[in-house]
Amino acid sequence: MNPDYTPYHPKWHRRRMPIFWWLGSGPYIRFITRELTSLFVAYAAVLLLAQLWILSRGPAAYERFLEWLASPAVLVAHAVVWLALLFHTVTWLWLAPKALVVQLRGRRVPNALVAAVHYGAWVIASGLVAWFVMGGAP
Amino acid sequence: MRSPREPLLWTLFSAGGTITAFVLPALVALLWIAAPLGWTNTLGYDELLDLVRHPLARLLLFGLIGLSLFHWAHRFRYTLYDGLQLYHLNQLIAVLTYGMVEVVRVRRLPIQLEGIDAANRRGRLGAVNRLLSTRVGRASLRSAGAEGRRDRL
Repeated sequence: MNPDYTPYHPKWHRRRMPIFWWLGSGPYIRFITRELTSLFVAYAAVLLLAQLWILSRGPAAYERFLEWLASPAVLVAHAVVWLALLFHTVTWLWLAPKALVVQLRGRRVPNALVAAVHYGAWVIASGLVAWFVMGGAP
Repeated sequence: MRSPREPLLWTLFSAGGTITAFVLPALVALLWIAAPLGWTNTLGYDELLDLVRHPLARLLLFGLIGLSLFHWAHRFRYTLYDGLQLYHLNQLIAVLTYGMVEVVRVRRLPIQLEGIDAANRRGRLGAVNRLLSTRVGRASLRSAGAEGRRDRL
C-alpha cells in the first residue's frame, strides 16, 4: 500500500514484500507480463517516430532502414514485439466489459457479447490499417 | 493523498491502451515483419511520403504516437510501484516517465512531422544543411542570424 494513500495512519505495521513477489503464481506472472507489454507499446511508438524521421532523410536512408528491418536478428526481435502487442490487445479488449457496462432495454448486455463486439472492431481496424499501409487509400 | 490529476492520467492511459490495441498489431506485422520479408506489397518510399503528408494521416500518427507513449508512462510507472515496490520513489518515477513522454511529444514529434515537409524542400535547404554540418559553417551561419531562418523552414 502506497504510504501516500494512508496519510492518517502512517505508523501502521506493514509486512515487507519481496521484490519478486509476483514470480510465485501464474495469475501474478500474467499480471506483470500484461503490465510489461507497455514497454513494447513504447518501443513501437519510438520506432514509428524513427521511421518518420528516416523517411524525411531521403530514399537512400530509407533503403538502409529497410535492410536493417530485414536482418534476421531484427526480424526475430520484432516477432517478439508483435507477440507482446498481441497479448496487450487480447487482454485489453477482454477487460473492456469490466470498464463498459452496457444496458439494453433495462437489461445488462452479457460480458462475452461486449468483448466479442470489441474483438470484431479490432478485426475491422486491422483491415483498415492494412488497407492504408498497402496503398488502398486514394 | 490522491492528486487531482490522477483521473486525467487514467483517461490518457486508457485512450492509449485502446488505440494501440486496435492499431498496433496490424501495423507492426505489416510494416516491420511482412514487408521486409516480402510477403506483402506495402507502399514504397514515394507513396509512403505522400501518405504521411496527408493532414489526416498526421493527425492519426500524432494521436497514436502521443497516446502510446502516455500509455507506457502510466502503466510502467505503476509496474515499478507494484512490481518493484518503489513507493518511496513515487515522485521521481512520475517525473521521469511523464517527463520523457512530454519531451518526445512536444519537442520531437512536431519536428519529425515537419521533417517530412522538409524532405520535399531539400533542394532549397541543401546548402544551409551542408553548412550546418561543419563547425565553421555553423558559426558563420549563427553570426548571420540564419539559424532562425532554418527553423522556420
